[in-house]
Amino acid sequence: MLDDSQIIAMLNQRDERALTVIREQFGTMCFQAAYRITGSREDAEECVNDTLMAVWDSIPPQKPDRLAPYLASLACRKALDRFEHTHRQKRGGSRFTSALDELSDVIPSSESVEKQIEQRELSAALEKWLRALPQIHRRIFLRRYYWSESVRTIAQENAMSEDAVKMLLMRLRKKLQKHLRKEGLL
Amino acid sequence: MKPLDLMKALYDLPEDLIEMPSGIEEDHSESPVRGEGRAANVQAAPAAQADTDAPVGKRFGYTILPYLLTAGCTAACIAGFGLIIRFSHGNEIVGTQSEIPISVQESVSSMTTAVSTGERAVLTAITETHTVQQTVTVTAEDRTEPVSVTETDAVKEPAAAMTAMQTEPLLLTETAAAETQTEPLPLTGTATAETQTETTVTEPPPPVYEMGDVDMDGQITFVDAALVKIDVHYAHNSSEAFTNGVLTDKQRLLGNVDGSEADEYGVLTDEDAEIIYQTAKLRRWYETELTAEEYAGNSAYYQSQERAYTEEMLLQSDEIRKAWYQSFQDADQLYKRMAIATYGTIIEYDDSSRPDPDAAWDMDYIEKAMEQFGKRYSMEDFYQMADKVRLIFREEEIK
Repeated sequence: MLDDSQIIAMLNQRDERALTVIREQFGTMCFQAAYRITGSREDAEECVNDTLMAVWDSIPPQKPDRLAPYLASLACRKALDRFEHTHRQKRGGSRFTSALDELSDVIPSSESVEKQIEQRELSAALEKWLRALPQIHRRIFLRRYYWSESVRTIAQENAMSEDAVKMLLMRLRKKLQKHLRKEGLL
Repeated sequence: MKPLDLMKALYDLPEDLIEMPSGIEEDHSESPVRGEGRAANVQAAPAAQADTDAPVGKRFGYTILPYLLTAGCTAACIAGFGLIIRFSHGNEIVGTQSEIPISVQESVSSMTTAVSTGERAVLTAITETHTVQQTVTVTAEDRTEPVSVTETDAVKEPAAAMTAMQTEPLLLTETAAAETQTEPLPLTGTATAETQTETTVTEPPPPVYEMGDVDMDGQITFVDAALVKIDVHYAHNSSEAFTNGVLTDKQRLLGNVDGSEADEYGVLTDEDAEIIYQTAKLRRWYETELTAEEYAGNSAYYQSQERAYTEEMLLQSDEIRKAWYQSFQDADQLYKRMAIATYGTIIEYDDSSRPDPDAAWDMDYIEKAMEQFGKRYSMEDFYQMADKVRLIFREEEIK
């Protein structure tokens, strides 16, 4: 069992065994992260492979402090790409679809907002907004929209009613919308 | 910009912002999907764990669930019965999950306990008619291994059975759980879990509930709570459970503490109030209740701040909630009910930060509902009603 620093050291030394270790230690996690988005086992497995490629390509030069969230993030991005590719038209069936649908009221339509906003500006604004949130609100928001957790699960883990979670998420979306407008991103 | 762009931005967030949820963890189990295909090779399921001090529950999602499946709990769930799962260590309950069928897998997977590595934990799953115990040992190699499964007969007095199970030593065998759980439980419906063959089972006797009490440690000992997620407070919202007739009116009432669920139940009795009080006590939020004046002030403040939200929510509010209010023809009942509901809202939201806009939202909604009912009562009347309810609870608490 290797810790993060050992695995990263292997990657820095271009030791391909690092990928085997990562798959063993984080493969399930990456799969789950991807599966929640794609809703497809096959796609999620592909995303795990893509994630391994991505981590090989990105470390070095990247030096993540914690490997798990770094890998999860990579897996999510790969899954998002795959989701975008395979779901040109929205389909039901995954919690991610539902989460995405909820976010659509933050950004109502592609016609009504500026398409040329840089993604990194949006990410920076999002980060700024998230950091300003109370921790519990930030956690719940990320559980829902980063991890595509079900409202029920979120409610359970935070000892809240589902209604309370839905209400909080609605308010957070509104606040986010307001923040993005304030930042000139909407 | 599309919503997907926002998602992409989310996945670009720095790592320090990202907290790993319990459902997505650094787990090393063989099957990448929760509970999928694990029962058949339950002994092979446990795998090495990186963090030897990690809570056992973090692995329960993948290693315990198959035991539950093989123990017949899935059959129980499919049949529409509730389930309460307790993780105990010695005589100490280290975790409780009460759950209704539809999301038992998530419930189990999110369980976190405080059992230490190398020690033995007892997992107890209780349905209305059966109790299933699973002993697992976290070995020095940090594995969770099935040791034995003990299944009791139909539980006529589940509360007593649950207490007894905390102290009774369990049989230790080397038999895998999958082998010891071969007989289907006598439950209604058809079990279709992938870990079991299709099995039609017989109808069980109707459950008998007896109101008990709650000790000062907040331990659930009354059976009504067994099917209702009283500490986590959401299972009662299950429309499936309502449809299946699993929950009693009292239990459904619990779901309405925060005004969140529709039902046909129109009268609050003292016993109902007692249930709500016990719920509040379990949540341990009763200590931080607001006075009516504080609440009125907060409500006014947030009404001004959150009017837009309220308006939107009124438009978006689901038909169930509307129907709930409209089902009351008697305004007295309505206000009494709302007083209870809002009291629940106050105590529910008050533990984090107050004043809380969510509580104010409910108040705002109540105002709207009052308009609908012709303003037979003023808001002051309502606050007085809420205070009366609060006094009832306080008197009960003193007793």
